[in-house]
Amino acid sequence: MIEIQNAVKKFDGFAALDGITLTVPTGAVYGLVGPNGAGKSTLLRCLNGVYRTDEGAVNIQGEPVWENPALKARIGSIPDDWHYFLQASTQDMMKLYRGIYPTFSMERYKKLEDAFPIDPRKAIRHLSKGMQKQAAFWLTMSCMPDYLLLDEPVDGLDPVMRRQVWSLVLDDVAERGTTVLVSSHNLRELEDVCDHVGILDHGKVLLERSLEQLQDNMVKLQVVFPEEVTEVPSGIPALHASRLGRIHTLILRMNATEAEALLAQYNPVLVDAVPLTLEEIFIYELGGANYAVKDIVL
Amino acid sequence: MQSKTLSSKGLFSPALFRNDLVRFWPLWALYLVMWLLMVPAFQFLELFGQNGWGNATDMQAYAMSGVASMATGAALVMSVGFGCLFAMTLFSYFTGTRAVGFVHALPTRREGLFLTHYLAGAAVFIGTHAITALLTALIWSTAGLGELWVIGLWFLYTTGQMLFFYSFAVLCAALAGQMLAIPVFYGVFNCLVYGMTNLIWLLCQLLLYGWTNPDDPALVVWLTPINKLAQLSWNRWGYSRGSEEYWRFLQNGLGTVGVYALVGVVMTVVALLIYRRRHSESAGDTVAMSWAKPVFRYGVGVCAALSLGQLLYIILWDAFGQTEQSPVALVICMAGLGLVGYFAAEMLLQKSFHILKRSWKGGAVLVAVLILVCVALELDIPGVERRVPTAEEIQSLEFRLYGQDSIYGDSEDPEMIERFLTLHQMLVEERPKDNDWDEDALYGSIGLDYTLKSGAHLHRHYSFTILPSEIEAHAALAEQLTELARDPEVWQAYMKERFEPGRLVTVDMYLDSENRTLTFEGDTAREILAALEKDIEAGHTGAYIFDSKGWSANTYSTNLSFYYRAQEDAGNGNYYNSSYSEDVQFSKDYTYLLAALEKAGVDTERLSTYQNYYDEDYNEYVKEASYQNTYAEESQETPIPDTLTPEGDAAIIGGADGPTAVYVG
Repeated sequence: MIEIQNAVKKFDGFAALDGITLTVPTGAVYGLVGPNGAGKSTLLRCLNGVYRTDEGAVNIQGEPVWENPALKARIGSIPDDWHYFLQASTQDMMKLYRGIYPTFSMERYKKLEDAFPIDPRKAIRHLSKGMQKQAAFWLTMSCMPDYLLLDEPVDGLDPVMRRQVWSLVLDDVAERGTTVLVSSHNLRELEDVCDHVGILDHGKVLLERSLEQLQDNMVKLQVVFPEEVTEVPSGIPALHASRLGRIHTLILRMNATEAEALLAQYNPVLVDAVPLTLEEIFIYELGGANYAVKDIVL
Repeated sequence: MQSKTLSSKGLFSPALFRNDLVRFWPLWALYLVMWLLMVPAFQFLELFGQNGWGNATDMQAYAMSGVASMATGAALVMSVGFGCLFAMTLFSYFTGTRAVGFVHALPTRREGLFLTHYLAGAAVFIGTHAITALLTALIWSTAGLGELWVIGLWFLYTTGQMLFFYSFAVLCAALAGQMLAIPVFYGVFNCLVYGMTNLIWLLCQLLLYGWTNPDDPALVVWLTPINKLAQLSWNRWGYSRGSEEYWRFLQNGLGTVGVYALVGVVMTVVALLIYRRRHSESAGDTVAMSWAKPVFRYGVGVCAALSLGQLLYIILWDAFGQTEQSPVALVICMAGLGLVGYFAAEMLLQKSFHILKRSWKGGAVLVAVLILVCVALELDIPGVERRVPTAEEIQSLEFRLYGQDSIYGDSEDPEMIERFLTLHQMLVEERPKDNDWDEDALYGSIGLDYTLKSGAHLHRHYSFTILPSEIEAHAALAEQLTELARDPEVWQAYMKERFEPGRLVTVDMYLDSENRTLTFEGDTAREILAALEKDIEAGHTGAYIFDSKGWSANTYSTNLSFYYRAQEDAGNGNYYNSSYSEDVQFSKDYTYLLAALEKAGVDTERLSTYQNYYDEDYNEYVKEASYQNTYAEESQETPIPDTLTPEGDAAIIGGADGPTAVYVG
């Protein structure tokens, strides 16, 4: 489990992390969402031991990450600007990773050779940005990490490779119980892979929920009331209501069963539950459309 | 096993170590090749080349001094250059955000990362030196040479110096957040103490009356490592190659290298401590440590004020042809350039040109401090100008009187010291100006270096050009100056180590009016020297040193050169003969000397003074005389004797263009 308690990290007085508290359960795929400058990359750098927080604790499995080589050996990290040595090929970097990470698996490295169409002897600097990202995944996944920290991981990858990469990551989660913390400024991208989501803004966690919690707490319904009911009855606490012809679209803070029971009092002609997007959930969880969440999550 | 333990604790990474050795091989190879060429390859070519050695002793001596010479000069240059390159290469990741993120995310402690990279560099240079030494030893052994300890000496010298400069550069890398800042810090820190000391002294020279720079204090020399280590190379030339003293000097020099090597180890520890506290996010900053930023900001400001500010002042003041210093102009120049330096440093730190709003207060503080320092010096708050030591404080005095001629020497005689103290006190009180030169002015300079009984030194230098209109105001001072310049004891102090009758060989006198040199030997020469001493005792000397007009009217344009023999240590237990000479200018007042010259056959009536010499008519006369003399000698075809004739005879030495010397026995 990854635990961050009241973490503060300041740069020249500016708080990039401003008292963040966040928990990533073991085996979870945790999506960290936020706009540029929210503190996502800073948080990940605190987690992989690059930055030291000014205040608060950054622990994995109860141990602080800072200057903890044994723990860091179990962390695989792919920053958005992955570094490689100027003259190095993927093969050269593999030798370094193999020497440094005790869990590095040559078997896995060989196996992943088919997944990533890269010439391992070619200098990485001569590869395209997407291919460099693939090389980063290839090497990191070969380290068999227990914790995977990914910062904008699929930026620059084509759709096929995105799917391939996510598939690899999720296989690891399923087979080895890998804990994944993935940051993105795009909520839609994380929708399909994350089981936990946290929103960061201005160095603070605005919201942190499991997908299950989110879906249990909010429902989106399309309702057709009897002809004499033209407006949504005042007894229905709709977070959002819109109308197209006779069809009312309502978003309510309750689960589907409670919502249907409530609407039944008004004898609706039709009640149909519609899946909520993460974006919609966050908008209304964070206080409705007036809150500038669109700026944060889109 | 050991490395495994260290590795498991994250204190050393064998993989990173190997990576360093492999990645940067061109630099390591260059270092190795340069040393292989300079030592074993050179030795091989010398020992087995075409030279053909006469005997084994010569060959051994040549080989030894060849290797030893590489231990100082070449090793210093290599260490200064490659020490910095090694550190920049191995610790370049400090300066890149991506690189530092990658390296610090690796499962190795900061100490481990530092030690791994540091040891990679150290392993390379120690390995290079070991290979070089072994190959050289092999070549020597093949050539049948012994004394392999000299190769060991080279190894210790080279490794010690490289250890110091490499560690120094690593410390700079730990402080710098930008790649280019590493060599800049390295270069500046290497010369900082020496440079700042001299700039402060320059400020004292400009603002403190009588200030003169002392010799570089030992601490300044030690804190300027390139200078101190270069002295090992320069001073080596003071000893004959291969002499016992030469080897003793080099062996003693090992102590200096050892001290610097130890300092290098301390610097490494300091660099490690800095690195542990250094934040990864400082990559890209000019200065990585927050505590060092004010030091950088104000340090650059002060350096700019002292260097560029004073330079601007000197250029401007010189351009305006001013002779008197202007403290106000100096402060303006220093404050202006100090601010430029301060704000430039601030821009580098903030990475922005818009820094004025945030940093003007610091700039104001800097200007205030600069003004305060200049005012304090101008008002002589430290009491430097007023300080005249008491006779009881003084152990000895070195004096220099400069004017038309120069007299210098040293003395421990309390009475003579007292006379100079009186002069010193008068100079401090009267502060004569150093006006533009005027031929009727009393002008010159006085240098006084006191060695105090406390062991301290006090150096003063006063230049003056007292115009006729000011003479009255400085009558007592002028009298004291002239008295000292004529003082027989002062002259004897000047003469005591320079004019040695026992070693006198000849006295030469060039007659410009006749374009020939007279050479006096034996008793004649000794009589001339004795006559000079009598003139000194009689106070005939030095009357016109500060009086340019009197000098010109009374001093002869020719001078006497006293030649002495000396013996030099050849370094191999033998001595060889050498000679040195001292020149003396004399005036019409030197009655004893003139009489001695007359006795030696010189027509002193024909000697010309400087005033005559620069007189146009006289020059015409000299030209004519010289021409006639040459023509007459050539036409008579006078035979030139090979050796000196008995006493009383003369010998003329000359070439195709006429006689150039006449020997008078």
